[in-house]
Amino acid sequence: MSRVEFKMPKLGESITEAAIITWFKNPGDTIEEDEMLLEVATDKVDSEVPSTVSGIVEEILFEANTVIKIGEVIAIINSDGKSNGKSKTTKKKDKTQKQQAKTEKALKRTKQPASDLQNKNTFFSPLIVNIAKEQHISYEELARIPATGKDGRLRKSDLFQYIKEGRPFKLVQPGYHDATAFRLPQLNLDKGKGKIVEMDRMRKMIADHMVYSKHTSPHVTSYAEADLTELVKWRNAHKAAFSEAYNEKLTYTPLFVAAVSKAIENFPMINVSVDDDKIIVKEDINIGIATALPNGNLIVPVIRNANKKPLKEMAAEVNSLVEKARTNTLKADDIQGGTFTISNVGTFGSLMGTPIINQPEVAILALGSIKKRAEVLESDSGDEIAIRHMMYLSLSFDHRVVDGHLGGSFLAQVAKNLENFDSKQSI
Amino acid sequence: MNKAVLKQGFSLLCTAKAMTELYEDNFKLVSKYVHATSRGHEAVQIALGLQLLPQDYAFPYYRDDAMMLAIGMRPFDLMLQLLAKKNDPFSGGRSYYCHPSLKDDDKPKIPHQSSATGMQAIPATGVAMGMQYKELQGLADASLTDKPITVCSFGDASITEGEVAEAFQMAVLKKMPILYFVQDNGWDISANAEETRAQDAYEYAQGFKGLEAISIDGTNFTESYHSIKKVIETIRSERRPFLIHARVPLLNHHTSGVRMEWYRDDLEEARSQDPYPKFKQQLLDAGISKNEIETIEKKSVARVQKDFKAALEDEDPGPEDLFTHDFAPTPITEEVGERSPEGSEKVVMVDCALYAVEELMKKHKECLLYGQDVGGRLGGVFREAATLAQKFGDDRVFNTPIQEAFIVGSTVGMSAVGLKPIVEVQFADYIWPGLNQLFTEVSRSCYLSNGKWPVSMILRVPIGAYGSGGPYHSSSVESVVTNIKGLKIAYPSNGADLKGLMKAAYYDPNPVVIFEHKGLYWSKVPGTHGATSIEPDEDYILPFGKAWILQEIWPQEDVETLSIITYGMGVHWAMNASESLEMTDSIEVIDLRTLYPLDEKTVMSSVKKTGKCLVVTEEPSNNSFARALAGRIQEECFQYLDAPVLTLGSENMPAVPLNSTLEETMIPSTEKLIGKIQELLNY
Repeated sequence: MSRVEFKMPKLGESITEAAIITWFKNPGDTIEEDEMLLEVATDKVDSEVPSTVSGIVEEILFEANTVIKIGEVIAIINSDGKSNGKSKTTKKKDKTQKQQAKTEKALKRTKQPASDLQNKNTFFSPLIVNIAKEQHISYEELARIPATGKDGRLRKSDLFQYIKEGRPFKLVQPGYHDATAFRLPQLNLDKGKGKIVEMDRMRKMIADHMVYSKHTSPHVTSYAEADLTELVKWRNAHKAAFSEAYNEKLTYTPLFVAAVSKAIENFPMINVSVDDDKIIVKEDINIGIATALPNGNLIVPVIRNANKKPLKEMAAEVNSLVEKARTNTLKADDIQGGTFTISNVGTFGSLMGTPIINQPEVAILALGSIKKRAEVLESDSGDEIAIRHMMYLSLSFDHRVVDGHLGGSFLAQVAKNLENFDSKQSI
Repeated sequence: MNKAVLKQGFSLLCTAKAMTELYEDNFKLVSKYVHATSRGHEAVQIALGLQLLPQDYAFPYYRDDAMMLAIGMRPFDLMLQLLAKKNDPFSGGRSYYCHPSLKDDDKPKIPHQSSATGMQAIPATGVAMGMQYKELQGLADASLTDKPITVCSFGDASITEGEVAEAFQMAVLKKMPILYFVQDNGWDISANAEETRAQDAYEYAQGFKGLEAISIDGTNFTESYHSIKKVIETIRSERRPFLIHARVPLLNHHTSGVRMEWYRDDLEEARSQDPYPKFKQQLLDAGISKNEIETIEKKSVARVQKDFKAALEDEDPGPEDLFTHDFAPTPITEEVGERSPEGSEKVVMVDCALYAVEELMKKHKECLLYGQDVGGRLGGVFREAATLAQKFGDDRVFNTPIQEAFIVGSTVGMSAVGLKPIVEVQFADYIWPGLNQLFTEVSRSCYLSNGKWPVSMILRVPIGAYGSGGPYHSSSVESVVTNIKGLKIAYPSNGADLKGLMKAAYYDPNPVVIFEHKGLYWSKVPGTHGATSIEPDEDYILPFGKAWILQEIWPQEDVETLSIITYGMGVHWAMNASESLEMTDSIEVIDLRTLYPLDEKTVMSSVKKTGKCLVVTEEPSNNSFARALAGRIQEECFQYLDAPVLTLGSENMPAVPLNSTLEETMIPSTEKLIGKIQELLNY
């Protein structure tokens, strides 16, 4: 037996003192190495402090709620000199259990302040490195796995134990203490009385794509509204004739595409991609149109060189793509090469949306439903209230390369193109 | 004297002399590789060489190029070796000028011998011992009217070597048909006779009872020829050893590496002894005309020049020629026969070996056993040869004097005449005097003779510490022996392996060292019951280079696993340790069985599976075989390792002490191994 002075441990780089919240042990209690002895609070975090030795708690030197300097002796433990591995030579049947217990203990350790989350020993043997490669585990993650080897080294069995446990979420967090850092919440996923639906491949790709886009581009959304009265009137007046003349339905979409592609001509920096520290300015203006597939999945067929196509041709192409989408017959070519995307959320009845950029583009336009509203119009004879066909437009753009000025000006140009629709034009 | 012989001898002398002169004239060209020539020694060498028969065995030495011409080699043949050419008939460009080894039907047989002076005495005497054995056992060629003799050639300055005394001792003790042929030019390199010896070889021979010796003038061809003739006839008929001491001058440099003018103070006197003018006079005296003599001389010079040109143009060896003939191919490659026959009894390890030897001796008359105390009276200090002398006679199983060099080196000669000797040194501690022969002669014979003379022999070496054997009965020496390339080496851990490996060793045309742990012989050491085996059948053979996965485990991911790579006593420590840790399912134990060839494949795949490795040896660990193996494993398995490869061996002290506490502290044990296993598993 030897008397060990138990000191307030170092809890983090900038922490100089901590307050005792609770003692988990009383004088005379036995304590194991790594068993929690007390809970402390600092200005940053509350944490449990484990004993560094096993033995009997002889004396507790400070009451709860006392503020203690780091390194000050706060308790005396009579150590029995046994180390953690004292039962290594015992029955093999206990072996796996022991190993688990060790890992659990080490897991507990990870609940300590973040400065301890990282293993101090970050040497990884060639075997560990190879397993990590196979399992796609990063060095950062390796460093957070509870390690039970010599001098805190991560052993093969530690790593496989961790993999077997499904890579517990708390260990996937960053190891450094950053109160603002992103942490995965504990989701407690529970099927309950519901059911589980496996994602199909496309769903998974959409999910990946969306997460990637949000992760990559800082999204900013600007809003505008447009008076579509002239455009609506014109379309209503001509759609029968159009259908008759060309055997094609005349929807709003080709009209929208025309307005957008004309606006892009004025603002070529909307029609770009980001390649690391370079901006690729696209020559062609290829407009993608977000479209729903029959199974509910999303697909974006593309109209190439939209700015150069007459209405008749555009309508035919839009109709054809929509039909192909509906019948699941889109070809790879039909969905490639987009430089800008339009999502017509109005067709679902939405007033407006905050769309997610279709990477590697840098902007996406959501068009709300066209609704008749009472609008104040200015005229030579003064303000008057009129019933107008109104639509909200929202543009999400990648703030890495598109600032508010460019995004807003472009959006305003789209709205202007729609409002100033030439209602005199023929079909 | 027959004129034809005179003319032939003179022509050979002229040829040898012309070769020396040509080498000097082309010094820069031919001295890339060191050489020595016979200049001054020619007459006596030719006198001997002309009288040897194809059934004879000769050990010519590096100054004997005239003797080589006399037995029928062309200048061209010798020059191929001078220039280290690929087609050098002796060594394929591996050894120096006039280092012959030859197995031509029409010439005396020349087994390989090293360049180390005096070391040829023991292999040569081994040949004579083998000739005698074959005659006694009825294995000799009875159709020969002239019985074969052995000739061992020396310079007098090498007679001072201790091993020469061992050879002389045995030759006279057993009355062997051998001629020790000593050419005395009075010089070492720069040291002369006055400084280096109290007597010449003729006088020295007087100390060996039954070694009849004569001293002759080696510059006089006819005298030499007649004296040698008489001696050879006597050896052929009376089968006893002789020594001829021939006085000759050294007229060329010791070798091309030194210049005689720097240090020789007797050059003028030496030149006055030149055999060439004397021989010429003998021809004139015999009535051979000056003209004819001149013709002989001119022809010789022309021949030498022509051969030199041809030799220069001959092919050099390529890099790929480095890798041939380190061993002769063995017919034993598969494990055959019944290892654990039903109804067979458990037999201690020492008896497994004994029965193996007995079965071999019963089957093969070429098989014989000798060493210290292995004869009938005792049958080995470990009873490892018990009853064999009674069963096979004192000619096939016999005691040798205390001379390990002879025990080891004589096998080179025995093997050369087609015998299969099994020999032993009593303790590994006493292998040292035999080590020179093992390294210099035994291990390199096959390689340096370009495959002509592999040495088929078994050297049994009782080894290891147990029960206070003390500093001279406990040592482990395998690292020293594994460092000698050209040997196969077994270190079995149990009787069945020992029996199977002994058989494989016997049928292997190469030299084999078998280490037999004394502590396992009777399973007397606690925890070594595993060394006692069911005795395998007579036809059971275990090839070399096949390790045994004695304890095999599955690959396991979430449990720490390790491989223990070991041999001999280490196998028992490993099994006991894993059992007492109850970790037989997480520790794989590999018994190497043979240290060369080494079953690297089995070792490496085990370590790749388990991720951790401990190499266990009884030797002090530093610079040991085990450490080297650990290094190899690390090289091969680095990406699979979860911990450094560890080695457990004895403490690094100069000897295993006598006192039991000191001994225990020195050598590994099951307990020490347990500690090391835990250290590695917890790493």
